[in-house]
Amino acid sequence: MRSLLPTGFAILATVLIFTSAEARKPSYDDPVSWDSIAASEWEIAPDSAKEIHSGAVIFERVEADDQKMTDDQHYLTIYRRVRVLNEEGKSWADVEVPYYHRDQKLRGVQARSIQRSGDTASLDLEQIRVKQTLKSDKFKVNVYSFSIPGVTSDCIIEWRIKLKMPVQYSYWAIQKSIPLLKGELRWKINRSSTDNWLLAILYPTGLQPYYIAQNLDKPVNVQRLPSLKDLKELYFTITDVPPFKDEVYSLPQKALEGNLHLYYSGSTSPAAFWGSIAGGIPRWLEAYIGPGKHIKKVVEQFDSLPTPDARAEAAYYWLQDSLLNLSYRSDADTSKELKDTESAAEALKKRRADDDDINRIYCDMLRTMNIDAKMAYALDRTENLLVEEAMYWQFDQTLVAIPDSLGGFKFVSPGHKFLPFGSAPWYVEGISALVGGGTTMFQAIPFSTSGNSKTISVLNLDLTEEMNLTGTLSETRTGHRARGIRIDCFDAGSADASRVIRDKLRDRYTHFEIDSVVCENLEAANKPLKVAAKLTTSQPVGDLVGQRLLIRPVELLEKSENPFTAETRVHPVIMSYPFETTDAIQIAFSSEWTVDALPADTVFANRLGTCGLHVTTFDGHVAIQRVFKLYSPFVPLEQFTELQKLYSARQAQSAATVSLVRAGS
Amino acid sequence: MKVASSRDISALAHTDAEWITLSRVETMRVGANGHASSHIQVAYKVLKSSGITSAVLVEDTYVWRKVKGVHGWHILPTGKSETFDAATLVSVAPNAAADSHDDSHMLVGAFEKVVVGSIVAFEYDVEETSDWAGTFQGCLMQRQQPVAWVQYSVELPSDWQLQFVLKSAEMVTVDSAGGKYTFTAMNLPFRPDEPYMPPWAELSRWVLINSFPSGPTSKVTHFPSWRDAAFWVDSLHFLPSEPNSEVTQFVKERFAADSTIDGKLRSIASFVQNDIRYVAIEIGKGRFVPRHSSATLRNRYGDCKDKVALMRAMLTSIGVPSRAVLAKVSMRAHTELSTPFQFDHCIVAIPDSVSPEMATIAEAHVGDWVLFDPTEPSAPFGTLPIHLYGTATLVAVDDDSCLMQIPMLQSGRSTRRYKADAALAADGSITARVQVVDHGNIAAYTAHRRKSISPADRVDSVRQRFTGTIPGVKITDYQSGEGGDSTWAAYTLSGDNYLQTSGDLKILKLDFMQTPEKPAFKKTERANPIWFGYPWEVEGEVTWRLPEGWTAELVDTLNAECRTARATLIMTASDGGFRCANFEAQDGGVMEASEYAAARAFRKEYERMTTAKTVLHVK
Repeated sequence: MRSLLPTGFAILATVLIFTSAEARKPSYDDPVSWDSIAASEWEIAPDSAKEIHSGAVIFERVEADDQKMTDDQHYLTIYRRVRVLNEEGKSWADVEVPYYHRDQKLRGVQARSIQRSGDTASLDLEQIRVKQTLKSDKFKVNVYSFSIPGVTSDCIIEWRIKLKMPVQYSYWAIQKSIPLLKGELRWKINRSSTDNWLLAILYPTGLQPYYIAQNLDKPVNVQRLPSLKDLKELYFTITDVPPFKDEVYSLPQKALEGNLHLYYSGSTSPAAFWGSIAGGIPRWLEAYIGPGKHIKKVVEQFDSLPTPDARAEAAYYWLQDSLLNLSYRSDADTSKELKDTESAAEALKKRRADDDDINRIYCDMLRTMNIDAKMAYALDRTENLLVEEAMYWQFDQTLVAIPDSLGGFKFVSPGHKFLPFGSAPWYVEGISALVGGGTTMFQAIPFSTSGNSKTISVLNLDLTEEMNLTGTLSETRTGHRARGIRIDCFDAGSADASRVIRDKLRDRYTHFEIDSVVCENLEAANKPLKVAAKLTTSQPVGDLVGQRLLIRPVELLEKSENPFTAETRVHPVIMSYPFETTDAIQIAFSSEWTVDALPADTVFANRLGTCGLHVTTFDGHVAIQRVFKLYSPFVPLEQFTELQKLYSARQAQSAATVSLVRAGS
Repeated sequence: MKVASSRDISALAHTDAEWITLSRVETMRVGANGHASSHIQVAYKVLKSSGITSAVLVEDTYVWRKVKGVHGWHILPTGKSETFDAATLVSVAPNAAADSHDDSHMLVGAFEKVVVGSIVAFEYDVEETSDWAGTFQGCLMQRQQPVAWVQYSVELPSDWQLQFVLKSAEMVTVDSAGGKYTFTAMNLPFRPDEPYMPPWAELSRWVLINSFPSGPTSKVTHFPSWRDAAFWVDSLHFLPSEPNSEVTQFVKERFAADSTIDGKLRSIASFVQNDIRYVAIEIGKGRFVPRHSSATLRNRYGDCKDKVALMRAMLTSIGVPSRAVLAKVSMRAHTELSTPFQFDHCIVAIPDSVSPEMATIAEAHVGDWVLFDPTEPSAPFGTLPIHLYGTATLVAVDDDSCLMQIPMLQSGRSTRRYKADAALAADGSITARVQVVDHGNIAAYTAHRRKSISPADRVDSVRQRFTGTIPGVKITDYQSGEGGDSTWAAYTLSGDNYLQTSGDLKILKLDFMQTPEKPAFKKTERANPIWFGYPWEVEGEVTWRLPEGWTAELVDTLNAECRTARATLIMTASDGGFRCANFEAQDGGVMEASEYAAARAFRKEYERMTTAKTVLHVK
């Protein structure tokens, strides 16, 4: 299926959208006028160098008409022509009309296929299908789609749609999954904001059109028409855009694909825009907090603590423990009638608030304790990345910024359940946050260290007569490693926590059956999470070669895959967070066996991480210690080879073999 | 609700069960006009938070199938209760893909505050106003989660008959009296997900029925026999499969270069399969009535029955007879139920007498017919998609041969043979020249896949296959091709650090073409049947050359066998090294849970083969 839907957009998401769109077929209000087809378009053929395989978008022409914007009327026309080169390319003929807004109306659809012979097959109105994808008592969502007739493995297809929308077209995904030979966008702008009273108040100097082109190898050509002085239209063109390549462990597609953002702003520069926003953040906080006497009362209990850091930490955990976090509802909470609270006073009185409000309360608690904390806003990097040059609100996470001794900030968030003090959620590490009221608007949120998120496992195993392994596991997790499990257990409900943990252990210790799971500190964010369990293999381990038993102890753990085996890489690598894993396996064997050979110790280290393996034997035991550390989850392209080497070294540990031989042989 | 919630379900508690059906009672009444009306009462108890989203009302709706009179109740663990607001019902289109257009919806009703321990119940009516509604119906008694009580009743007009099948539902009791049939089951335990199971579509417990008047009927949608069903299918396909001048002219021009009937037939098959893209338009009667062949030809798209109608029209225009055939891809059809509505796919049957060459086709030859699926590009003419083997089909002929079973594919008909000449260097690196030849179904699938991806991706997909076993593997000098019913590939692979060392020991994995398998059957008990997959056979040989002065310890021959699969690994000495021969075959059959011990023993040995190693010695 090919569609113009913004990447990742799910029609069947549970967000309820009201629409007044009727399930009727669109009408044509323009006569059909197709561009002529040049001979060169027929000459487009598979070409490895140009990455043309199944087809290419010959051109895509977009017209975004905002001239009636002040009446909430925007018109979008998309005209796309595709060269189909094989069976796979035919799927571009199945088109779903993009869905931008509940009140959009489809004003025209034309489509056809053209053969080399000149024969054409045009889309009939009857062939346009309306799918009512969602309907309830109050709303419905209709999606239009069509399949272009007459498509062969060597043809050209083209279609044009026109939409009327109450919102502006703001994002052009230029890069497709096949090459784009020419892209054009005409933006018919609206400069008459003063016609609209609300816009006139908000933007007394008028609205200016802005654009940002991202992730393109060559610049987008821009013409200001008819002239710079009398600007009515911005005309963008670009040629030869390669296909977007999806790769494992990448930033979200929206942050990587070639694109063009379009928007209006009353500000004259990003600095002015963000400065204004940053300046407003303290006022928003004050508005929420109100008079603040209730905050003063709460912080009195921490006065006796010796240092600001100690008070900040105590206040953090007090807030996490004392207020019900409405953004994380357990079963018991769901069954109650618990409305959101509207102010800090109400939240403290009723002992509940959502995650953002908990952060606001915490910020004010710190300020009341004379710690110059500030509210900060960030964006979940698994969704998108902040575009600082773009003068519009982009954030979806709140944080509290606490000044550190080096003139920077430490970012914390008691509103994120089970997040320990001193940490930010991992999905905001490595990006910039907008800090309210500070001298520097954007501050980097550093990655945590690998030592912050550890998994330490100790396996004590006995080799049985049947060559099975049986024994115990004790595992300790900290940081993000622990929080992930805590959240999963919370979501599953306390009665199911053991099962959740057992399933996690099964994923990690794939050769074993897991039983008798016991967990400590499941809800204590400031303590390591400890798990104990019994392990058994139900089948003999290792390979018998003659009188030797060859055991690969590292393979008893999760398979050490190397996800970075591609020969080339287009995008930088981003994993979740830095981490450390330490595994200690001890295998006791009877006098029936002696140690024949042990693998050599291995150590590999580079700037991205280390991995090491150490094997010893003593008194009827073999002891294996394996360590893996990833220092940074972000790996720029130029360091990709180093990352491959690190993971290759880790993968090679799986082959480490201990050889036991029957005594006396 | 009271009865349902008071049932003792302690025996059904299972640590992995997410919810339990306390009670499901469905009573269906079929009218003389064929319409059906059902009254349904269902109650669930939520056992885990993952079960919350399943304690809902979900019913398919169509133009001719409506849900009415929905009531619901929710009792919280605290004892507090609430009733369902029907205004919150939501209708959702289950399939939003651009190449699929259908008018079915799912009606979904749910309570907002359901928690673990909640009891949720719904009661509603379903009205089906098509005159074939009573023809094929079913009640899903159980899929995976436990069921305390389920009862399905069917009331027929006094002069009607019922055929029924208990699919994977041997424990269901059947009572009948005065035109009312009642199917009841209770205390159905939780069924875990286990490795190497048949698909849940096969394991789900169903009561399936077909009903029809005992005497003569004017309704074409009553099917007392398979001949009646076949006749009906043929009647639907008759007009759409008639060639008009547009189709006839097209065939004449397009396939003029093919001078023989066999050549034209194959070219037509290829055209319909590859040049008519698959787009499903299941709207109204379009669900089972094909579009006219000329419309499909003009559109260059259609679903399975549209493609069949077009192909038949084209064949008719060159004097080749054919028949539409109904098949089933989702779960096996039941020959005890003479209704065409249990099928969900359409293919073509051509008499094998149309040309001498037809008689030589092996895989797709069933009885006097050669079958062809025009929707599956990986199954060219002469082969069938693997999932059709072993299934029942309905050929639209007016005689008793209409019901036809496609035999199971023999494993020897879908084979891969490989040969590798490998050299191990003293530094532990390897270089090998590999040749792989596929025959039969595997060949068709492989050939299709290769054509679908770029040459660079073909090489990369081979490389990816070895990255887990050969660190830093490189693939060079890649070539591939097709010949007859086979497809081949040859390439050179090389990699460092293939040899493992442990102290002074040098350990070599015998066959790098085999991917190491993790233990699959870890548990000592088994609830579900065992199925290793579709039939196939692999035979391979790796000949190793070792560095001068190196020898290998010969490992004992490894054998593994169970009723549906077997495997062997044999290591023999050879000049300058050794040879490792590997053979694996599975016949696609299903083993019962009672055969688990044998299946487990097989897997244990098979997994050993995939990781088999030898120890090398340096003189």
